[in-house]
Amino acid sequence: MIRLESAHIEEIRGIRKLDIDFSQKSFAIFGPNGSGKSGVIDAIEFGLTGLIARLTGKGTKGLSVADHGPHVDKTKFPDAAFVTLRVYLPTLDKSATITRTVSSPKKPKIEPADADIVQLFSEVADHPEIALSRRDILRFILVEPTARSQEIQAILKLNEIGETRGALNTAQNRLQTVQRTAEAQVQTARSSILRHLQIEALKAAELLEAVNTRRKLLGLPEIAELKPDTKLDDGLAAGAKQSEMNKQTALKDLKALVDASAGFSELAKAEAASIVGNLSKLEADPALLAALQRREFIEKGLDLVDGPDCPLCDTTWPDEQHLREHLQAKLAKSEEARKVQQALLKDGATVSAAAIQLFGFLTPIEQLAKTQGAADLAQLLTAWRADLDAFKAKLTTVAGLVGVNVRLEISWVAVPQGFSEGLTSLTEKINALPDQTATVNAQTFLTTAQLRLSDCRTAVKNQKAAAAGFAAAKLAYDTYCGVLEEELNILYDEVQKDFSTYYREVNQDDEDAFTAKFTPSEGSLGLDVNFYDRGLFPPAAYHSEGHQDGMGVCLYLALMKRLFGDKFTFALLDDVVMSVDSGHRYQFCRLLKTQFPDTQFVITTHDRLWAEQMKSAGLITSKTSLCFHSWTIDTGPLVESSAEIWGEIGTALAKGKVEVAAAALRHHLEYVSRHLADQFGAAPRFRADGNYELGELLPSVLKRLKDLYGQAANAAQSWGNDAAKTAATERKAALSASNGAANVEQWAVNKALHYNEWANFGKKDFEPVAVAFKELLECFQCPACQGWLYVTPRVAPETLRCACNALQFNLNAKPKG
Amino acid sequence: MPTLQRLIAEKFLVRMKEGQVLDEQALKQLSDLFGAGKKIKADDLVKVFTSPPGGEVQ
Repeated sequence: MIRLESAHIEEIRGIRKLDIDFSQKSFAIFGPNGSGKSGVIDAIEFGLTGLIARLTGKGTKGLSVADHGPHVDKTKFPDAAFVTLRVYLPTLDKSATITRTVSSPKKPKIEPADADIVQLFSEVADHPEIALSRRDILRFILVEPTARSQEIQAILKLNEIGETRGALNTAQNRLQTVQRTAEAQVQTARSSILRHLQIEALKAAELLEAVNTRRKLLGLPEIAELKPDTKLDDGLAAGAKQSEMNKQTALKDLKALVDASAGFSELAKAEAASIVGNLSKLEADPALLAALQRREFIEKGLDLVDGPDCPLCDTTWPDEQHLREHLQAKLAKSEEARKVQQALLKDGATVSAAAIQLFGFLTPIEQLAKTQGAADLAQLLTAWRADLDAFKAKLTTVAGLVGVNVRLEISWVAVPQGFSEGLTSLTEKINALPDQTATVNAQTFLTTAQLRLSDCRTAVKNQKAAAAGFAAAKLAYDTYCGVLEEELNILYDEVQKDFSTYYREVNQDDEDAFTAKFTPSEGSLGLDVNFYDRGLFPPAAYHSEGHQDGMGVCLYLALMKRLFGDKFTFALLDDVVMSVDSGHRYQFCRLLKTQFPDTQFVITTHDRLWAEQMKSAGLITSKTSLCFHSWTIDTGPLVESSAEIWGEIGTALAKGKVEVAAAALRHHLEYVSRHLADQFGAAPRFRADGNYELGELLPSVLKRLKDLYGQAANAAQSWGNDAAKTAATERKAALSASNGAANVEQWAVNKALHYNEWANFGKKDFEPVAVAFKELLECFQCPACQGWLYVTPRVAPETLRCACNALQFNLNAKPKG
Repeated sequence: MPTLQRLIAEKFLVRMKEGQVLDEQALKQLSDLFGAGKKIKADDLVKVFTSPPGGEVQ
């Protein structure tokens, strides 16, 4: 996999132009809702895969990367929307850049374009699951077992395996049908020769006895052994082999057909009735019928998929994979329809085999009728066979079966009018023929026997080939299913263990005995979790939403570990632990750090406290985090940065957009106040939820810094350090002056001066406010390095300083005495 | 990167060889199908399973 070094994003989603240095480290982007955080995730995901998950899948009909990937003002200029990612490829120990434009998402520009680099990017593009959003994690937890199975199978790309299994099953079913047909043909051919030879079983001794009696009569050598190439009429003169019928066999064939015709109405009657019953069931349940019709339609469509365009409705999908997943999800929904479909096709195959048996009776009589001048009967039999052939072809699909439903209900054999009469007439005609001489009888007996033996041999050969084909297909299907089940059991077992371990780590304070149990079965994956040793229950039964969120992320991490192993080096977590409480978030950070030390996580959150916790836990640092304080349609995300904020405010004011400038200033002050309160150890009124308002935070920061400057001046005086005393006093005075201009201390008493009113100010009213706060905040910064001041150590501070040490105030007074 | 599907395909091919139902020619065809990295189609599988021994033309 990869690690991200940097990203350059232009005109993607809500972003106009943005550069981020990730330095291959875990990185947090935080900011209020709608500030553009997820746009960064979208852009990175797009850069790596060519996809944007939130524009695909359920509930995204009508959305596409092509139309909605670019910034809303650049939808007609997809070339302008692009992402360039600089990444490190650990397995190759190389760095490379990939640039992907919305206009050509499948053709990224990769530099250097070494074959191994291109191949690796191609593999990464095949894994959109590197991005996880909160919407995604609910797919694992709060869903039915069948849906969970689909989701997890999709993330692990098991749907491809399912497709292969489906293809093996289809091949097996087709070859089983071929085998059944071949078996029916063997049976027909065997009946035909047995009838001719007038023997009970097709055994060599009995066959040779019947044949040798005729050969002896003709003075031909007896056949001692029946070999695969033995010709029963061997030695007959060419003229004697002319196709003259054998009268006795012709009469036997006619009688066989007459006898068989008495049972025509019983041929595969039970199966025909079963088909009619199942079709009635479908008729009574239109939803089931629709599901089944869709099933056949979708199966056909899936087979024809060759690219992102749906062969069924011409809809263009982001890629072929998404289209396949969509069609497979539809198929999975119709399990009952699948069972009905299988029953119908199985019964259809039996009726088809019965039709082949019928052909075995009709074919010799059709030939006989032709040679004996019974043209009407010959024509009738030819038409009947063609009709049965067409009927047989319809037995292989549900739609076909629906078409022959009425025929199956009455009598599918559909004996044509005039059949019995024609048969009687032909029988009488043959009977009226003079008996054949013993020689002719023996000759025609042998030629007919050879002909029918040859047919039988061919049928047996075909049946053996068909049986071998079916055996191979069955073995392949059974083997594949066996291996699949073994591997899935191993996989689920490992995922189950990892999932439980991770969840316990996050919730060790109250659920250190947590266990989970997967129950895989065909097409579904049950998940039950232990609830305080009271037993196993579905995740949503007793666990809170926060716990369920935690489960979702832990399951995702367990799946990623199984999917990528030690190559799990990169993941995008978009606002995924919002319901997890602050206490457990520390544990979550520790989980990421300890269990995935080589994985770079890019995490977004709208919760500033959570971002601070990530810093405190050492998951990220100030350098590996970014705060968006707001967003505008013209600028995209506004990055919280003291160096740029005043320029952004100035630009907004220049355009007369006071509300934008006011929001930017307020967000910046919120950020700085929180940061400085933490840096100085300020003492605002404690809030358990950590949601301090600017109105209470900034005054407490001001007071704290005043106190610190006072403490520094006193300490300097105690040491006799006049220069330090003067510097501290001057900064304190500057702070008081700026504070006065900014009116911060008046917020609590004068609502008109409150920051909530800024957005309603006119440009001329707001400009001095912005200037006052700029000057105020400069009192918290080092003029040399522009860094924010802080105290050290955090508890019982001894120094107030900046990062470059240009400003440094001792806070400890000289001990007395 | 090693994937579950590849792992399953490899084990499957080994077991098919052990099963001694397919000859070498058919096993190679099957191996090629599973190694091509494309969607495996039922039609292709039917051809493999019904190919005569040694790949001779019937």
